Amino acid sequence: MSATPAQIDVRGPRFGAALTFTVLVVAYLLSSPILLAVQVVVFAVGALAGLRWSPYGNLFRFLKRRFPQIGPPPATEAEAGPRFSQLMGMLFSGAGLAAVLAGADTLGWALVLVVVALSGLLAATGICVGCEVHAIGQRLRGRTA
Amino acid sequence: MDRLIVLLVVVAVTAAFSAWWRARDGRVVSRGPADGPWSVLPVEAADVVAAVDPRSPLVLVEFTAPDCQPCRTTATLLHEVVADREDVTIATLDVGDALDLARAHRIMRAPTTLLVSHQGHLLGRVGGVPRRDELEALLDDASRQPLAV
Repeated sequence: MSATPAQIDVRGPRFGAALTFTVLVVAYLLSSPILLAVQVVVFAVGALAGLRWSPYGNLFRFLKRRFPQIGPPPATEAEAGPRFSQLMGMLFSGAGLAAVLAGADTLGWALVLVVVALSGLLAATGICVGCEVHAIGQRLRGRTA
Repeated sequence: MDRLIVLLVVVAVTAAFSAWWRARDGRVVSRGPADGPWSVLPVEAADVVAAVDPRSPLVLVEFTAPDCQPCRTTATLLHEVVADREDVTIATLDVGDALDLARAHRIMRAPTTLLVSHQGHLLGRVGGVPRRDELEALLDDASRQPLAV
């Protein structure tokens, strides 16, 4: 096992979040399960196979090569946190897709809007969701232990 | 049309929350009185001092989490800021390893940084990556206080 976790450009997750926000907004406005399914697959690839395979991550790397003025990463981070965010996105948007396909449109798109809000928040602020969840999660776990 | 309205509401709420988050993220909150010595402050952080055993009058205590890039950025910033200060050291505590302290001091996010005196006075607090100028101002103020002996 490698002891060194994979490192990624800290700008990558914000770029991906902006794309996710855009895709899901369009999917919601067009009421398109197909576009929603595409986003679920994008989340699943990043969460299950790793961010190295993430379509949006690869697009970001392509743009960095194509436009060198984007510059080198200001910092890198372990992929675990952003990958956790991909997992959360997959679960929420996947549940939303399942609900829409089952005919529960209101529930399904409400779940999608949760992901819209969180991806918008990540794109706008760069908030480290994994960090925030970890601190609160540890406290809750300690309380119930 | 209904969808568009709902979406606009969601986006507006998200934008408002984002603006609020950015406004408070990294802001240094000084606990010092407006005037007078900081030694009049209550000794709120004796437990933190006991845990980190500082060898300096002042100590910056950073609460961290694993795989937390802002925590690393904060650590780098703290080391840069204290490089020329002999009266300040840095201590790091993982939230999961210091649950009692995290709970006692209402640590809700990582990184959170506390400035405490070796006597246990809680002098300042920052959630997120600190704003350098505000942190330096806080350290300047704290270093001038008679409690920092």
